[in-house]
Amino acid sequence: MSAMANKSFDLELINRVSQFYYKEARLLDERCFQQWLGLVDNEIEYSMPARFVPQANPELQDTEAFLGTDQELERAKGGQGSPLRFDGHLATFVRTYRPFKTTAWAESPAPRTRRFISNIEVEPLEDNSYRVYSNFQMFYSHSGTDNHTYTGGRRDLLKEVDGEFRIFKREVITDWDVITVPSLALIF
Amino acid sequence: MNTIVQLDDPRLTAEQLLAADYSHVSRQVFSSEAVYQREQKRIFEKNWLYLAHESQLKKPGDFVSAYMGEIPVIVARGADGKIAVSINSCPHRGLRVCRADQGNTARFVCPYHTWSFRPTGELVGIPQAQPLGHKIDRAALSLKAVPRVETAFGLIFASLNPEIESLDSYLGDMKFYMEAFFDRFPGGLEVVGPAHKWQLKCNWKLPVENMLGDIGHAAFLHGSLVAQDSAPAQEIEQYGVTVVPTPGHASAIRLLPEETSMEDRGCHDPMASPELKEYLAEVERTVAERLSPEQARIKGMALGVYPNLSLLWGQSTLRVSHPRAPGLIEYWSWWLTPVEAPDHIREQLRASYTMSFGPAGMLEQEDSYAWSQQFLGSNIQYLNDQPYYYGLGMGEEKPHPEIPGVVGRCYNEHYARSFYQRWRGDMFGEEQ
Repeated sequence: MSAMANKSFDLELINRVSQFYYKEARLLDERCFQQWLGLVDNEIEYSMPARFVPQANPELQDTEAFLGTDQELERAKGGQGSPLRFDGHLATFVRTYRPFKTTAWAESPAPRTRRFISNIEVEPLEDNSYRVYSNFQMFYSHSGTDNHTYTGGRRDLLKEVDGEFRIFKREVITDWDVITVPSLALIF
Repeated sequence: MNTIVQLDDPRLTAEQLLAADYSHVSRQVFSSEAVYQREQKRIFEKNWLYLAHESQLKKPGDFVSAYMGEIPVIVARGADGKIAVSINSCPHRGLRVCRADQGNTARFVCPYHTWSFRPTGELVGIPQAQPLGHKIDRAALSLKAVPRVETAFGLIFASLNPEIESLDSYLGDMKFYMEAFFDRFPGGLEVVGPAHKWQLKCNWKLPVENMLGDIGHAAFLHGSLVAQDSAPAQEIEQYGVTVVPTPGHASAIRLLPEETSMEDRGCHDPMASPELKEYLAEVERTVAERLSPEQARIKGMALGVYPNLSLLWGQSTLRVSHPRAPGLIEYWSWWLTPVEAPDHIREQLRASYTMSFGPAGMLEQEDSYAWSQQFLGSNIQYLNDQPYYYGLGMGEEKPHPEIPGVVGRCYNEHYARSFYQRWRGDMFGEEQ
């Protein structure tokens, strides 16, 4: 199969996924979290592995596995792992509705955010599903001069339902050892 | 940063910082560089500090990185099965020999000249020594060993103070409350995965204070998630007490009436699934095999061991507030869970941690925001004549007929007053 025939080079598909992500980012930056929740399936699995520095394994020297980033990620592993976040729909719902209260003190007044989504790679799967890789950068301005830049990668499972994309799974990969931003309780 | 008080400034006195009855605490306690520097010597080099949990070091060669205040250390299980703690700095040029958060290794190797060490700190080799025919004094050139290491309830503590009392005596009656949590579950508890670590722009004492017994903030700072008229908030107002077994250590608990159902004793979240409620009720039904009747009636919220270990009971998380500067900490948090709980129960217990606490927790988000705002307020030097008020419930606390220590009702701030009493002793008492 030539590269051009490979579905991952389907420009229209890439364009549609990109537009979906840009709209998603705009909804989040404009604090329309309740509308954002409409982009998420009821079976959503929203996870964020913890990231740590493992002891290098000398047996893997000279292979790519020696520096494999997966070995730095602590995922849920059923009930055997300790990720930073492993949310279903209820937790996602609570996270999106909580800020709309005067008593959500950490976000009242609300921070200002600006998200940039890039490096989008789309892999078509069975049943109108797509594995999508993307990166994000988010500028986050809290009170006064308390400004931060968040960066990370996302591994999504999108499905097309009635001609619209829905997020079924999202895994957010962060790049800190010691996290230097105020909170990861946000939507990325 | 507050630079008014110099390190040897005679104005840095206990009377200037704390009211005699601890009803007022100066803003400079949180913001002064001089206070901070003295704390490193007099608190973090003198007391027992929590480093790691035994479940993180199952096999010989297993290690984790940790801190004692600002000092980086390695906690490792040696070939003899014993746990040793050594300071993570090469005796040759000072580099960290362990640069990982956790793992298993036969040797740590200093990057600069490949001096190598056992995980427990003993020098193994200096490659440059042999060609020179240089005789090596291995004992003098090993990683500096932390002199005292002891464990309680699987918790590994160490102290830089060789003269310190035993950990058992240091914890004293605090063990009664620690037992009520750590010995509650058949098969015990384990720490899962690496520490969740993040930086916060606050003073190290405020998170500690919060979990010693600040019940008063829960339904208020966290009002977006914990409604004041909700069943859990009502239960806390009715049965919540703070206990101080020894100044510096404290716990916030509910001492439930005997007739309380097993489900209500065990379950911290009314939204919990029926299977989780049943699992926790079953733990309570068998708790008499492990705990006293009074301990069985304790439904904990939080506890703290002086100076900087905290535990959130219902959200199963251990945490340590590592000082970095007057207004900066590195906060480390771990998920702690019953060893024998089935996988689907562990998943649900974990959700109550990650949704609420840790770097991505919604309650943590609010706490850390409040703590960093407190530090900004602590820097207003104009207000040094307006110390913070710690007087809520003053004098209401008293001994209790059923449980050890001094007990205050719900919003009594004696847990914090007694923390600063202990702190004052360390900071201004006789040099040890």
